[in-house]
Parts: sequence; C-alpha cells; structure tokens
Amino acid sequence: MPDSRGESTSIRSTTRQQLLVILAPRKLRILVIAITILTGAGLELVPPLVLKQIIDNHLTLGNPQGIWGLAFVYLASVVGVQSLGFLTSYLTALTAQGALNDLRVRLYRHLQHLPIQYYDQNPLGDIISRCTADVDTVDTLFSSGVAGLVTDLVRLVTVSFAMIALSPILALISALVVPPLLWITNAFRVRIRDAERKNRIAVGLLNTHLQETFGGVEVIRAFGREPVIVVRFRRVLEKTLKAYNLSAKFSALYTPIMQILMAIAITLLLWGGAQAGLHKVEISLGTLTAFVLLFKRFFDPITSVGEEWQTVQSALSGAERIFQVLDLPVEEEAMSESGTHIKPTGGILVNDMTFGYFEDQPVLNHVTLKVAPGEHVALVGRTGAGKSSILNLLGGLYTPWQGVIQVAGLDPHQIPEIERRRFIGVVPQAVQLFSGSVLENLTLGDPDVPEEAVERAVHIAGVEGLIQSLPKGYDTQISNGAGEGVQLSSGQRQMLSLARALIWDPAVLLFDEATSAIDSASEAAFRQALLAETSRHQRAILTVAHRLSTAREADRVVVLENGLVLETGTPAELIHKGGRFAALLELEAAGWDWRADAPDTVNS
Amino acid sequence: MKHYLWEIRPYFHQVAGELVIGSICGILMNTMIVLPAVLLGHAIDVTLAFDKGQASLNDVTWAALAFLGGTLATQVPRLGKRWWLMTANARIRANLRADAMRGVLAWPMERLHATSIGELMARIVADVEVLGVGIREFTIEMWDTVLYSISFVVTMFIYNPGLSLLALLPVPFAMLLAQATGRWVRTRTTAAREANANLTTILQEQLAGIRVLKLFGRKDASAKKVEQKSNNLVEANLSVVRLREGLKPIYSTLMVAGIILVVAMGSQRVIAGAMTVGAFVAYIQLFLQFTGRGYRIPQLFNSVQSGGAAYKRLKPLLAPARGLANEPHNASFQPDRINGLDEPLPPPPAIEHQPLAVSLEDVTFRYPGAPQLALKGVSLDIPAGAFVAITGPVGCGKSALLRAVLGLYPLEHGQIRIMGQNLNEIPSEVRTAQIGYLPQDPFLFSGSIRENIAFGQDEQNEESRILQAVRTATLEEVFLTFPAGLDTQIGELGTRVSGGQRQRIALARSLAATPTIPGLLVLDDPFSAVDLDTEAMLIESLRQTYGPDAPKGLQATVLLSSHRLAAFPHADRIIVLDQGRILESGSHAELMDAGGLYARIFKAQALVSLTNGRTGGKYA
Repeated sequence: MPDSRGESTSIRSTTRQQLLVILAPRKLRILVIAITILTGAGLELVPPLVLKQIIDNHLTLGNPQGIWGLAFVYLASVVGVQSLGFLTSYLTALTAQGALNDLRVRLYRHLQHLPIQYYDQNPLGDIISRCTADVDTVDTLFSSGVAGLVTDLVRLVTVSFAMIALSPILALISALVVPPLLWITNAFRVRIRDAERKNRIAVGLLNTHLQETFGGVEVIRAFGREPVIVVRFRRVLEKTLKAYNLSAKFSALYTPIMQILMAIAITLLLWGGAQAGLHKVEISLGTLTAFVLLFKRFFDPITSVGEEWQTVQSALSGAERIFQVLDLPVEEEAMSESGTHIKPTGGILVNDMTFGYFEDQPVLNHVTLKVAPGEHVALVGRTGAGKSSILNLLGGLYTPWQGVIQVAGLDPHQIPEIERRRFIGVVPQAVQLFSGSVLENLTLGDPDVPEEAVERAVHIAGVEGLIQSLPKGYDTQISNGAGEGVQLSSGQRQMLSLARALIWDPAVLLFDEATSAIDSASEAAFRQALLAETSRHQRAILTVAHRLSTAREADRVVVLENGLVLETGTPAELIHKGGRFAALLELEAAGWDWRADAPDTVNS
Repeated sequence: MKHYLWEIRPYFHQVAGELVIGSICGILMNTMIVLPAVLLGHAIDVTLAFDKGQASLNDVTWAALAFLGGTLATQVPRLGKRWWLMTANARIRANLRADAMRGVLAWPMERLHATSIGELMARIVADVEVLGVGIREFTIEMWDTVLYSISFVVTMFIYNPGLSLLALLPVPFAMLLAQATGRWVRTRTTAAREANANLTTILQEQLAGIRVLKLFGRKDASAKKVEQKSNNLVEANLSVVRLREGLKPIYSTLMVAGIILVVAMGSQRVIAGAMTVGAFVAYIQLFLQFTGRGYRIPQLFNSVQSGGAAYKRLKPLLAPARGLANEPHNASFQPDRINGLDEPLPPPPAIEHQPLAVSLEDVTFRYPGAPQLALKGVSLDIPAGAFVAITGPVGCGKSALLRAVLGLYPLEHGQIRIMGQNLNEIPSEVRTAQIGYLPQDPFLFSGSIRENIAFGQDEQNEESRILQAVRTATLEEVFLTFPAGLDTQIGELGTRVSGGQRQRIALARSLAATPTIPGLLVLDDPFSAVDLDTEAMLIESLRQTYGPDAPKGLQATVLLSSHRLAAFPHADRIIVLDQGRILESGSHAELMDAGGLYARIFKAQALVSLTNGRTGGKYA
C-alpha cells in the first residue's frame, strides 16, 4: 500500500496549506498570541528564580532586607501568568472562531453550488456532519491542538534554557531521564490510542445492539426470546467492559509512573548534587531548590506534547473531509443576461428522452410527452416508474442523457437559476417549508416580491382563510417539526407550497401530489384552485398523481411503467379502453395498495 | 425521596470488593500525599547540613531515598485507587445497562409501542453515563478532593498555625467565586449549545431543501441565513470564553494571594531560626498544591447531584437488580465481571407437536393509543392444519388480526382460543414455543444468517431443522452465492442482503426458531418483496412441507396476509377484511363466483401484472 500512503500524505500537506490560507488574514492576531505565549512561558520561570534569590541572598545570609519586595514579585508573576493565559485563550478563541465562521460559510456556499447528483449520492446526514461535526474538529485543531502544542513546546524550550543557565551540571544529570521519559510516553501513547480505538468500536457495537434489539422487540416477544437477548446483551456489555478496562489500565498507570520517574530524577539530582559537593561545583542551595522546582515544570509539557500531537493529527482528518468537498467542481450555471428579458411562453415538451441516475441504468426510456398551455396532464404510475424523475428534469435539476426537453420554450438548463421561478413553478411532493414566518416561506426571503403578487397567489391557492386564521397572519412562525411556531397539517403545507409556486406567475406548473392522504376539505379546495388556474392563465400543468381521483380530473393521463410510456389519452378514453389505468382505478376504488407494488426483481 | 446513591446500593454491592480495595488505596494515597513535599524539604535540609559538614553522605542518601519512598507511598496506592474504582464504576454502568435491557424487554407491548427507540437509547446510553459521573464523583473525587484538602491543611497547620490561618484566609472567598463562575459559565454554555443547535437545525433544513432553493433560485438568501446563525454561534462561544477565562485569573489570584505572606513571613521565620530552609520550601509546595486544587471542593457536590436527575429518568427502565445468587464467590472483585453472565436459560417447555386450531370469538382490538378500532367483532374458526389467506384494503386490519392471534397485545373485547384454550391462559413460554411468526417488516439482527434463523436455539441440535427451513424458504441457491454460506455475517458490518432475501431469511426463522416444530405459522405479508415467480415457488414449498399432505410430525396451520392475490387460489380458505370486519370468506372458487370485492381485485391485479413491461433496471 505504499502508493495510497503517499497519496494520503500529499492530501495532508495540501490540507495544511489550505488551513494556513484560512489563517492568513489573521496574521497580526496570531503574532500577538505568539507574544503572549512567549511572555507567559518566561514569567513562569520567575517563581523558582525568586525562591533561589531568597534562599541564597536572604535565608542563608540571614538578611531580611527586601524580602517583601521579592514576595510581591512572586505573587505578581503568578498573577501575570494567569492573566496572560486568559489573553492567550481569548485571542486563540477569537481567531479560531473567526476562521471557522469563514470556513463554515464558504463550505455551505460551495455545497449549494454542487450539482444535485452530489445530494443523490451522499446521505444528507453525512453532508450535514461535514458542516457541523467536521468544522468542530477544526475548532479542536486550532484552539486546543495547535495552541496547546505551541504553548508546550515554547515552555519546554524556556524551561530547558533556564535549567542550563542555572547549572549546566545539574542539567546534564536531568538530561539522563529524558530518553526513558520519551520512550515511556511514546509506548503509552500508542497503547492508549489503540485501547481507545477498541473502546470506541465497542461503544459503537453497544449502540447498534441497543438499536436493533429495540427495533426487533416484537419479534423477540413473539418468539419469547427475552432471556436469550438479555444474555446476548450481557456478552456485548462484557466486551465493552473489557475494552474500557484496557484503556483504564493504561490511564491508571500513566500518571503514577510519570510521577515516580520524576521522583527518581529529583532523587538523583539531590544525591548527585550533594555527592559532588555543592560548594565545590559552585551550586548554591538556592540553585538546587530552584532547579528541582523547574524540573517539575519541565515534566508536564513533555508528557502532554504527544497527546496534543495526536489531537492535531485526528483533527486534520476532519479538516480533510471539509477540503474534499471544497475541491469538488461546482455546477456550471447559466448566466443571468441570456434570459432576463425573455418572456416565458409555451408549455412543456419532452421528446424521445432517456435518462438515469447511474450509468447503464436508465430510469426513463425514450419518453415523449407534451403539455400545451392551458392543459392539465396527469402522470400515473407505480413507485419507481420514473414520474418524479420527469419533474426533476423539467425543473432543470438534471440533464437528460438523450432527447429534447423544453419548458416555456427553453431548455430548463439554459434558464438562469434566479430567473427560473418565473418560468417554472414547482410544488414538490415532500413539501419543504423552512423555519421562519409564513411570508418568508412564501417569498423564500425575496424582498423584491410586491405585496400584490403575494396576495394574488394566496388568493388563487385558496389559502387566504388559512393565513387569516393564524395568530399573526403572514408573520406567524412556522414550526418545522420541533421548536416553537405553528404546526401545519400536510394539506395546509401543500396549499402554502402551491401559493409559493404561483407568486412569480410561472408559465409552467409542476405538481407532485403528496402520497399521504390530506384532509378531504383541503384536497377539494386545492383541486378547485388548480383547475381554475389552468384555464384562466393558459398555464401548462403537469401533475404526478398519487391519487387517481386527481388524474381523472386532468385533461389527459400518461401512464408510466418502468420508465416507459404505457398508455396515454383522456381519462374517459383510458377507462373505456380497460387497460392499465382502468385496472389501477379499480384497485384504488377498493382501497387497495397499488403504488408500492413493484417488487425488486433483480435481487429476490 | 431517598437519595439516588442509596437507591442504587445493590449495584455497589455487586462490585463491593473492588470498591473496598479502591477506597483503601484512595485513603492511603490522600493521607500520604503530603509526604513528597515534606520529605523534599527534609532532603534539602540534610543536603545543606552535609554541605556545612554537619551530616554524612550516608544521611543525604537516606534523605533522598526517603523522598523517593514518600513518592512511591502516594503513587502506588494512587495507581490501585484509579484501577479499582474506575473499573468498579464501569461495571456498575454495565450492570445498570443490562438491568435496563431486562426491564424494558419485560414491559407490556403497549408501553413499548408508546416509547421511541431514541428515547430508550438516550436513557440507556447517555443517562447511565451521567449517572456514572455522579458515582465517580462520590467514590473517587470524595477521597481526592476532600481528604486531599484535609491532609494539606492539617500539615500546613502543623508547620505553622498562625501563618496558615492568615495565608488561607482568602481561600473561602475564592471558592465562592469559583462556584459562582461555574454557575454563570454553565448558563452561557447552555446558550452556546442552543446557538449550536440552531445552526445545526438551519443547516439541516436548508440542505434538505436544497432542491427547492435551486428550483426557486434562492440560494443566496439561504446562505445569508446560515451566515447569521453561524455568527450567533461565534458570539455565544466567545462569551463563554470571555467569562470563564476572565474570571479564572481573579479567583485563582484570590486563592494564591496568601503566597505573599507565606514567602515574606516564612523567610523571616527562617532568618529568625524558627523554621528550617527545607521546611520553608516544603511549606510553599504544600500551599501551592492545595490552592491549585482546593477551589474544586464546592463544585464536587454539584456533580454528585447531577447523577440524581439521570437516575430518575433511568429508574422506570430498570428491572429489580440481581443479587449475588449464582455468582462466583469472588465476583465482586473481578474487574471484568458482568453480573448474571452465566445465568442459565430457562429450559424450553416440553410440548408435543401438533397443528393448532385457532378460533376467534367476537374479537375487538385496538392498537395501543390508536383512536379507532382495528378489528370490530371478528369471529372466525380455523381448523388445525388449514392454509388461510387474509387480504383487504390498506388499513383493513390484516396485520391486527395476525397480531391478535400472537397474543402480544390485550384484546378490547372477545377472546381467542387455541385448541380450545383461551390464549390469555396459555403461559407465554408455551404459546411462543409453537407459533412461528414473520412480521411485516422482516426484521433481522446483526450476526450470521444461521444465528438469525436459529434465533437463540442451540444451533448444533437444530441443524437439520435450520437446513429444512432454508430449503423451504428457497434460500439454498442464494446462500451458494454468499461468501460463507449460512455463516455469512449480515447487518451493519456484514454482507448486504436485498429486501427479498431478508424476507425469506425471516421466513426461515419463523419455521426454525421455535423450540417445538411450529403448529401455527403467522406470516404477515411474507411475499411483498419477492417477484411473482418466487412467490409461487414459496407457496408451493410451504404447502409441501407443512400442508395436509406433509408428514404428521410437520403439519401446521398457516395464517398469512397479503394484498397481492396471485397466490390465493392455493389457500384452503380466504378471508377478506374491510374496516376491521370480515367482508367475504370462502375458497377462491366460491369468492370468484360470488363476484364481490375479491373477484374484482383479483381480475384487476391479473390485468396489471399482465401489462407489466419489465425492461428497465433497478431504480434509485
């Protein structure tokens, strides 16, 4: 695997470069942080040195003069270290949060401009976690990882300098402990990391196990298998416990062993110092004391540096996932000039079109379809027949493999995105409302929509009554599942969604009916509005009918099956013919489930 | 209400051995904790004496070794304390989780029905974790903070009571401020967490709505929204940092303010000859070690309390804790022992196989919490060994009827008899031992296919039944294509199985997972994910193996539901349900002659499958 490793190293290095680019505009602040870190590390040296001063110049000589001054310096340096620590943390947070903010917004904007296939191929949860969890790991990278690493390294250097300056001989003696120290630290780090990885896997196993046990509780009960499942769960818990204990073992050992190692070093220093004869090598008692105290400060950073390096490494992999997205090419979008002044005219034209989401797997085969202005056509078919794909293509979200597709006289792809809503109004199946007011949801935050346009659309869609009945009318907050605001029924949501599509007075209306039944009152009102619209404004309407009663009211019906047009004609013609449409009508009339009746023939 | 730590005492009892050793180590460590500083001071004094020629080199060696010994005396018990108390805590958490699982599985179905999996997981995973923190604060931090502080303060007073009193004077104020800071920071942290949740929510809905935003060309407005929430989060995060890092220097300064007295007055005492240099250094060390940690004392009690809320949420899930019965005698000392691990399984009831007759008498049934009835006064007699197929429109009560026969939910009215005996009076282990069930959602567990089919039965003993079930479910050829055949792992980390395969594995389970050969098979929509040819094959093989022509020792009553009628002509009897009532009932020929709903649907479906043009591939 040498190749892949080389590749990942190069990914790492570009990730680092990209991170530096993000930090570049904050150079000055980073410089200030560097200064506070350096000063803080310097100040930390003061207390031991003050103590040396006191012991050598006052205590051993019996001279009380100036003691209070030194005591004050001692306190001042302690306070100074604390305050500089505050400054460092605050400035680091300020820098990191600013950089993260930029990164997050940039990432979101980039995601918006990726082709829609990206959203088909990646689970939404994964995309969201790149914007949230992965950005948070970069936070860890900046604010604890890198900052901690730098602080500790600087501390290590200043303490080493001070030790050498105080007494080169003692420094030499204490240098003896450094190799075993590094060796032990490293050995522990590797083992702790492995143990923690195992622990994480075990916890994941525990979660999966809980999830599936509760998911399958009915089967368990039906077979009376509760005792077996409890024993099985205890086994999983035992595995988790063993994994945890392994990492507990190392973390229980680590600190005590470090402390003992330090004690051995200090014992050596005292004994060696005395052995050499302090006055002979010109080491004063103060120096020895200060040295012992400094040595304690030398230990902490050396033990935490490894851990911080680890944090940085794992955070880098989070950052990688962000930059992977930022490296994806964005979709080419039609320029705004080409379409600005075109008046949308004409209906829908689909001619001999073939399309699929994956290579060699066409979802639509040579489909031909026409909707004239003022005509209402219903698409009918079982799940997977390709109905929604036609709407997505007409909306310009995808490009057909082959064939012609036109909406209001233009290829949907040539319509600039910000112009599109004047050409095509879409009422999707899963009605997407956003948290915010009713008005914001209608205009999608477009401040240029005139009030009359909103009122007209609301009138046509027949939601005036609904909006008036809401506590704050247009300013009522809509709740999206959880949170505050008004909960709307699925029928009401679809009516609002229709009003939204009509605000820009589009030439073509694409309507994907909700599969779940909406209340009959809103459904009747809705159909009424839809019908009135067609005739009055010469709009072309294409409906994906999940309820065949809707299709019966259309001017024409197109029956799709497995991506092929199976039947087409007026509802009356098709019923008379007694083919597929008639059979489906029969099933629906009896309340039978006819939509999901497409078993997978490939794998079963 | 009793304190939660009192209520969970059985769990402490289960790990008592570890707790006792760990606590002894904790007490040892925290009493010895002052030794390194004190002995370092002594070693400095001896070194000074040696330098002045007042002590021998031997004395220095001993003093240095004494310091090393003092360190060992604290660090070795520390190691033991950490190990035993940490593992004891992990065991308590594991035992709580096991009991929660046991408790939940024993809940009545209607209660399980009303509780979401997410909530159960949150209780068993997150709340147990919080409870563990509370317990840790109690078992570990108690020694480490309280005893630690006492040791230091007492030693300092022994060195010099007057100086200690003066130097420690600001400490209580620092503690108060530290506690208040903790409280304020928590408020702001909550606000920051909310800002974070808001951002996640907005990202979620905007990313989920990306198609709408593209269709309507409103991407910029959406980006501005995200930017605003992101800015809010930054501000909230910074306000936490400002408060926390801003107040820390203040209380820690207050905490160590006494150092000025310690240094100045201590020095004067040394000069006056009332204190040795070593004692002076030792005293400074003691003071700094204590003040570096003492401010945590008030926070300790908060953390112990937080476990109480978690326990309150967890309590309804817990089965009564198991005692130490059947446990090895030293179980409470074993760091990786889960309570009840070797608990023997109850033996399966000894039941003679026979096909079961089922009769429903005026059965009225409602799903827990549902507003309308699912079955309204259904009466039905199913003779032993019959093959009965049930159909009807969406929501007609097909699944409800099958579930009622399983006896998992209580009936609202009427009764169900199996071989003449009231279902409620049949012990559940007898009932479940002879009914094979295939739910509408063919739920499988992670593990091998063999484990799924045997479902906790002894796989070796039941090998021939498992293979028979695999044959009946027409899975033999399918498993030939799998890497490890029957031992192929499925589930999250294993091989992917298609919906149709899943359904057939669940079918095999329903045939092989009962302790006795099933006398009744309840199959809820067993063919929805397979094509018509496979369906015909399955029906044929089910009839062959369990039908009236099968050997006596295998025959079973079969009760299956489906909305697809292609296989129904094979059934002995067909039931058509509508709105919870029986609409039509009879053989295929009778119902076709009657020309009712069944006949209409049968014809319409035949037409639909006739015109079924299969050319395309699989759809996304």
